[in-house]
Amino acid sequence: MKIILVDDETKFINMLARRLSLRGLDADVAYSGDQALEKAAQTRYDIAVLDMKMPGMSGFTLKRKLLENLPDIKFIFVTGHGTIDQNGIADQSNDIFLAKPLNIDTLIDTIRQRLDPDQ
Amino acid sequence: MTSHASDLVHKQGLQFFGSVNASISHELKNIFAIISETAGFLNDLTQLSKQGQTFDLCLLENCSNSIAEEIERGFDTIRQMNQFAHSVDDPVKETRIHDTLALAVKLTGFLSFARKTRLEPSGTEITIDTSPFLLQTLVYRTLRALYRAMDTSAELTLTLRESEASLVTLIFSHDQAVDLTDFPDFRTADVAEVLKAAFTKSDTGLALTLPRENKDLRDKFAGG
Repeated sequence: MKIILVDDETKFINMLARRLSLRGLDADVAYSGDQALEKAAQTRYDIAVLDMKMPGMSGFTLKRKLLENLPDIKFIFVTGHGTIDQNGIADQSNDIFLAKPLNIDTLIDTIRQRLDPDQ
Repeated sequence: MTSHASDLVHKQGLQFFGSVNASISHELKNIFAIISETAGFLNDLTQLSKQGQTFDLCLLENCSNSIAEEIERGFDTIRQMNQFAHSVDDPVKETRIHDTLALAVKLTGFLSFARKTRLEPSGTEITIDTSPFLLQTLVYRTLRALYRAMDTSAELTLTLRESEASLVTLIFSHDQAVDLTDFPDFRTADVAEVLKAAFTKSDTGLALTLPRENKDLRDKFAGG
């Protein structure tokens, strides 16, 4: 399973990657949409965990660009946006939204569920 | 301009307060997210230690430093929130314009599309007699419009000048061409009108000229 985490909050994303690694899930990190696209050109990611609001390129724009090269990639959006305070809210695209601060177990369950909905 | 100024404070004020509070709460959630993950990582290390695994003690030091830094970032954010909240205490007062600019730069800095901005120190303390809240609103809206129009790599410099004895000019200089055709929008123009402020656009920047004294505004609020 190849995961990419994208957020401009570098400390947050590095710590999250470290905690996922302790649980046997290896995740690459990118601090901007452009950096994520560069990494996605080299690696076939299965799932992207994206911050919705980032300088330069929003999570939604990044999703659209990632899909151009990785049509099967799945998405989880992570946000500190005020209107999203509950986990697991899906919009019409069936993407999952998780509210900051995150619960690591919820994130892992959501990643597994997105990659294998029949699980 | 009779009840227009107080209408603006009430109508636009609510919207402005909402907008600023949304960006501040977003910033605080990011801070809490880092502290939460760091605390979680410390818990992970504790569990590993209980299982007999060893780890570099520097990790603990890094975690405690990170938490301390984020708490300071949170305090700084709350200080700005508090300063902003007090901008409505006096409807009209002698206002240190540099302080207003500094706060506006910090508050707009929470926006995801904020650009690198430098506030030039002013040699002397410049004050104007105005509505601190509406002035904050006007500067915030101007910065927000500029950030939206600027390229991600562009930088903004804010300079304050006493153009005449009765006027003060804020200069927003950008290092790249910016399309401000639609600026000021009607809400910004409304606030500018009440403050008797005038915008002048050029290829390299935007100038905002304000009177040192706004007698109409003071008379209005003094009269209730």
